[in-house]
Amino acid sequence: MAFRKSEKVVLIGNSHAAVAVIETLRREGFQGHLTLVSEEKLPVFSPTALPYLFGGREKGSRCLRPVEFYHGLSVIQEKAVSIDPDRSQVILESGAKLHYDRLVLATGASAAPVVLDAASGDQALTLRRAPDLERIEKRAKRSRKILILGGGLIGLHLAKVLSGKGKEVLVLELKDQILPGLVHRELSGLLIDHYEREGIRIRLGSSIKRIHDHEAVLSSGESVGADLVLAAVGIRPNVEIVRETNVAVREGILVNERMETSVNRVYGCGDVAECRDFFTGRSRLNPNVISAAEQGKRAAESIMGKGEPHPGVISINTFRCMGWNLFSLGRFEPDTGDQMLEELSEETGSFKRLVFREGTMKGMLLLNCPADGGVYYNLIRRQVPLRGMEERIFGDPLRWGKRLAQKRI
Amino acid sequence: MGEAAGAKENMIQNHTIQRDETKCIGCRGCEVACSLAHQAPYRLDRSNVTGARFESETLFSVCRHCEQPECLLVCPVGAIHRSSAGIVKIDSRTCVGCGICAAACPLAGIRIHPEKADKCDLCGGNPLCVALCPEGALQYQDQTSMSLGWKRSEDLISPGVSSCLGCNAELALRFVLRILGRNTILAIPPGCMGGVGVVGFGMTTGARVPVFFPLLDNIASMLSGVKREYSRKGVDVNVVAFAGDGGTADVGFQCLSAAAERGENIIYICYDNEGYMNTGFQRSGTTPLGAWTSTTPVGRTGSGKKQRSKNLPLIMAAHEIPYAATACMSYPADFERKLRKAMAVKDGLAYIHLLTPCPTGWRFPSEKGIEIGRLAVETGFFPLWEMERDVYRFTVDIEELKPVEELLKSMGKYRHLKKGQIDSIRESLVKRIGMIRSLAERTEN
Repeated sequence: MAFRKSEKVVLIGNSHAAVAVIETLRREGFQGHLTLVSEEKLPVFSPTALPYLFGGREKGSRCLRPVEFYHGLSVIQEKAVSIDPDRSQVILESGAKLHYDRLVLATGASAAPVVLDAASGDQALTLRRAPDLERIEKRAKRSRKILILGGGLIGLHLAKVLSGKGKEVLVLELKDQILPGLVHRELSGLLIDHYEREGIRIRLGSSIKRIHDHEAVLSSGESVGADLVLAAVGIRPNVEIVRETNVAVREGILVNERMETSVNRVYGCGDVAECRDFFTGRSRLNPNVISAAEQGKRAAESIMGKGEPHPGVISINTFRCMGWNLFSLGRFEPDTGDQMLEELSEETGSFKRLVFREGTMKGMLLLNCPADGGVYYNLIRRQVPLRGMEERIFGDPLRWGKRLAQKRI
Repeated sequence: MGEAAGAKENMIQNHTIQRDETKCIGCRGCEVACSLAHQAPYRLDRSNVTGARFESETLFSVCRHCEQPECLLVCPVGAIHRSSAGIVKIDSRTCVGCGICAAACPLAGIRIHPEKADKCDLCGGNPLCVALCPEGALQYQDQTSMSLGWKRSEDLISPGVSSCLGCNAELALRFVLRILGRNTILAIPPGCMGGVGVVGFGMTTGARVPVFFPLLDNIASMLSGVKREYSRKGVDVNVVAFAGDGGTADVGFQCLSAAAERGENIIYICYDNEGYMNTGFQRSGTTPLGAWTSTTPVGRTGSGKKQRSKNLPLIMAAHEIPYAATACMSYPADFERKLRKAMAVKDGLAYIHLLTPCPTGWRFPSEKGIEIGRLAVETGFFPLWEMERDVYRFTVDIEELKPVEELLKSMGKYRHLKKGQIDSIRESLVKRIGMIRSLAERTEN
């Protein structure tokens, strides 16, 4: 449907995907009216940035975008509670109704809650938004022993930060490895050893049973001291806004390759959106910053009737584990017929694994092995033919990355 | 295959450090210069530029200061900014070193040294790597000063010529003369640019250089004589034809072909608006397949031109002249380079085939000319390439061609096309690109 100049676009959410929508609309010469609805106070902070800001004084300069960024668009600082696609309306918490010609849902996700005490409903603290950070900072000050539930990116990042503040940290992970989905079991073992050496204890296949008076009982029956319990056991897409509408939802809001939901003129992007997987074609969430920005861009292009379809989401993560650099990309677990090249160097503490299928890149795992990740991400996305070069690329991923980025093959 | 993971759509770069591959010896001098300018001296691992020997050749890699940088979009702490001058910078005080920018950059422009991300900041507009390159292989290209340079050069066409609103050919003619300068003799045959008054009325002309009005069928012959006369006198002057596609591909082709074969030292620029546009949009030899013109009407029996266009630039290149190229005003820096190469040719004919989208005849809004030219290049409809002494190469390498429908639907002359016709247009353009590609690969090997 062609875009009319007088159209009113309403954007719900204000994180990476939403910012990408705004920037892309501006670039594409959007001349309609854009309204941003978000309950978060301006300026906002990226959930990804929060662990880095822990205990820091000058948080303000590390906001996602300065307040001036929002000049020229209407900002409504209020929660949008539901939508009415039949009447093309967004309903705000105050009861006010907002008309839209096109609606972009970039509501993001919330931290999955962990109830510590069923009777009182007491929950472990989670970190997703700026106020959570203040709360955790305040509580952490008064705590010595900290229990972290979840050995994923946020859990381990918090563990590093708190251990750096002299806290005694224990991480509990329910699965049999840390960073599930980001690394394979072997690398997980290597990383756990590294964390333990740095004074962070990690317990696998373990969870908390109950907590009482600074004493936590684990699933193993063991009891450990815990002045504070933090939970980072995953996120839940904020889909409440489309409940009781025709917008199709599985885990997240289902979107197609143009970021359109099942309802006409309603788009979804970012952590709330469930998009086709690049490899399997099945829809899934892909909560990360790069994917969110990309989807926001596509949604805006789609509104303007431009751009190409989204090729599907690919996992991409970069993480610093106590001074070690980890990069995880695509499908690094080989399927039958895939070519896998792997090397572990004990002395330098580095590991690399590259997976190819029929001469194209599929996945990559790098530990302490410098390389320009974005190049490899694009080699996958664009299915650049690399047949016959696999071994050479594996030999020097840093320089090959630079070469592939700058030159024709 | 274009650049592997390289130049993406919308990544127009205003400022770039360009390297001449033929001059680079991979000495890492640029890396030394960069570390000298930014970090502890001689810490090559801290350099923001890579210029080294690699796999039997030389490697060069540096941030390209994209117009819509991916790094800026993904930075979770808003530490990356693009200045109004177009320089993309990382504020190291704000950066938390998460590395996400480097994972998002498709062009290997960002380096994470342990605590922070770092990248080229163009040394604030005077890059030291360029200044210190011992081989002079690096060049700093600053689009702002480049376009200011064009603006400051003299406009040799008088104001108020009567071309249509948004005429791309007029823009191109002014541009050509800004580059070629006053030492130029111009021949403009009947056609749009002749018609709008550049060749003059009565005793005056519309150009500040000598301008001839040859017949449609003797343009190149006439210029051959003019050039020979000046050569005989020992005067070096640019003798230039600025002729439409009708005068070039159809009516004047025999004399052009002969002049090319005789090795006459003239610059022949064909502005191709794909038809006889000043006389009422009749078809010409370069009107593309399927296009509406007044002589290939659309109706019950007709559906646009039934034949393919002549591949005129390739025909001219096949004359084995010293220089042949395609160009478009949507890529002015590219066009300027080609004009300068054409000017440097002293031993034969230099031919430039210039696509000039015509708002009146192609039926598109008058402000869209540049966009449509760009689309024509990005869809592969009009690839930009050059042939320099039998060496073919693409000068603007489009890695992933946009669907040709994007171009076709942007103007009225293709509005009637059916799927089958679009398919044969696509087929034909893929074939033509493949032809240039194979010529380029032949010379590469």
